[in-house]
Amino acid sequence: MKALLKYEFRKTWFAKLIFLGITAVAEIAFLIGIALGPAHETGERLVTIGALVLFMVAMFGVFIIGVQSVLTLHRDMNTKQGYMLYMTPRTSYQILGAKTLENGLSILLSGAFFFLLGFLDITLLFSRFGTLQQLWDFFQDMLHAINKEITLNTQTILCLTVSFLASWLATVSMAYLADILSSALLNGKRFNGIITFLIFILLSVLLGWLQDVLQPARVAIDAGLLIRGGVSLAFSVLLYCASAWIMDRYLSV
Amino acid sequence: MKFDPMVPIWLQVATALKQEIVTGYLPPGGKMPGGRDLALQYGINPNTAARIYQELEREGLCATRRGMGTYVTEDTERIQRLRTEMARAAMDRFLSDLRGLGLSGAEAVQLLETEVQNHAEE
Amino acid sequence: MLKSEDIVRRFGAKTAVDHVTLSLEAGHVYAMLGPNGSGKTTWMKMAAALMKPTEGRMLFQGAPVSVESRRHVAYMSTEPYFYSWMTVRDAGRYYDDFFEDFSMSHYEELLRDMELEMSMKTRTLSSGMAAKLKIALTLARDAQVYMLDEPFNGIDLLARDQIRACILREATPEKLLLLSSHLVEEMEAIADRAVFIRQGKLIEVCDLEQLREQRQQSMADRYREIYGHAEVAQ
Repeated sequence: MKALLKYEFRKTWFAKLIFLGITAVAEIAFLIGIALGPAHETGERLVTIGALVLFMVAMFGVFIIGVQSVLTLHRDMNTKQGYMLYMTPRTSYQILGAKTLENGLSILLSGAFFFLLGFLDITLLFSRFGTLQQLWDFFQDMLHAINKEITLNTQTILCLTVSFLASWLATVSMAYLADILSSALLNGKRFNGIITFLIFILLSVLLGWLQDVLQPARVAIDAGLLIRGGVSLAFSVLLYCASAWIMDRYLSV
Repeated sequence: MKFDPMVPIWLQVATALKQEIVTGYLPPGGKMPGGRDLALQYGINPNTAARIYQELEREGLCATRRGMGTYVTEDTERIQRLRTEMARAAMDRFLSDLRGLGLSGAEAVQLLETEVQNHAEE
Repeated sequence: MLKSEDIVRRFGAKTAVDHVTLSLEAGHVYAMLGPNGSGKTTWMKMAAALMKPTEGRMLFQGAPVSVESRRHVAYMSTEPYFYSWMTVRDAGRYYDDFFEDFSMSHYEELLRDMELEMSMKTRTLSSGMAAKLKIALTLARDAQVYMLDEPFNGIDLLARDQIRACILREATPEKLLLLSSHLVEEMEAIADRAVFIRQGKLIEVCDLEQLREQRQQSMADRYREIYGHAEVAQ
């Protein structure tokens, strides 16, 4: 399993390195801007650009890590490269497990990393740019006025992040299953692509329905988010088992 | 060594080894390559190589000493006999070729004598 | 050691392997012969547990082949399959990571024989060099069964002697070697048995020296006889 994980990571590290590089540059720009302070025109500009780029990398990074993982799986199943995995004395459960684990960890860790970085940067920003804190408070009050239950604090944002990451992981798992089904059973059949896509949509609808059904009617927002995240995670595990089972029975190089 | 794939390979290698024994390249009592080495040396299947030693042993041309390897027989008389056998076989082929060309025995001997003289002069 | 019992593999309407019962023993080098599409590769893939039979069983030492048997059965596919980022060294490490029977020092020796360098990129290897690399990786394992699918493909005339020598070095009484190649002449001397397959069906398994002794036929002659002149490979 260790060896499988190592090579799954090896297949995706390059994209991650690029994201890390962009993050580092944006963060440095942001920090220089902070150091220059609100009075400085360049400082303000650097902070804005840095923050914007960081936000984009956080969103796109997590997105692309998932997409890349699906593409890698697709390549491993549909090209001769697949021999590298299937000739080893490892089961389909282990092979797909390593892929899921590598991808899940990448998504969760990069999510956690960006959440922490964002938290630190915003704290830093407020301490230097006092006016922004006032703006934030005003925004909070407004939200509170609309709905009494909503208070946008760190805890809610954390729950929101967790729920988002879990549902993204479930989405990637759905793509895995759809792709494995298409490679193992539909390969060469008519409407292969459309059927694969329909399966994917169907699974998404199913997850949404499950989340709605399993979430209790009256529950706090944070708890609700966590429940939805938990359902996503459980659904991912189910998808993984189904995918590996299909791979084991029907897939051949 | 280039093999004729229609003739048993063990026979071809065995003949080559016999030639080495007759010419003294493999001296009486000398150690012969092991079965695996023989296979690698001639690029042949190891089972074929084993068959060759079985055959040579059966003909009394070599003997396997347990744990020591295979050795050429020290019986020089046997080697002498092998030389005669091989010469006879070559002679048979030679004569049947000439017969195929319509030459009589006497003509063949005459031709042979002339050729031997020519070779000596060279 | 390796045995298929009434094995069948279908791809849709096409039957690639058709009720083949075949038992291969340790201590022999088998040449698996047949025109393209006769089912050699499919049989090997089933033996390597890369593909499941539609019917019948494939057994390795009496037990059905599985992920477990891959530890002892080394299979080399016809096509190159390395990850594009790999160097010759990376490929060796990969095998080392996954196969307990892989020997790095044996790999180094084989690379020397094949005139390959550790630092070469697999992506830029010529087809002949990639073919040699596959052989080196497969033979550097101390497996019980080696199945090489078309080991002479892409390898030039001069290097074939080298390849044959490397293959022969693994041919010990405990091991089973199975080679498939359309270059029949290349296997005349190194194989001792031939397996003839036609249109997914097993035609015969014969002892090559017996064939030469009793019928004065080479393996290539028998091939021509079975498949007819039209089908004789280049």
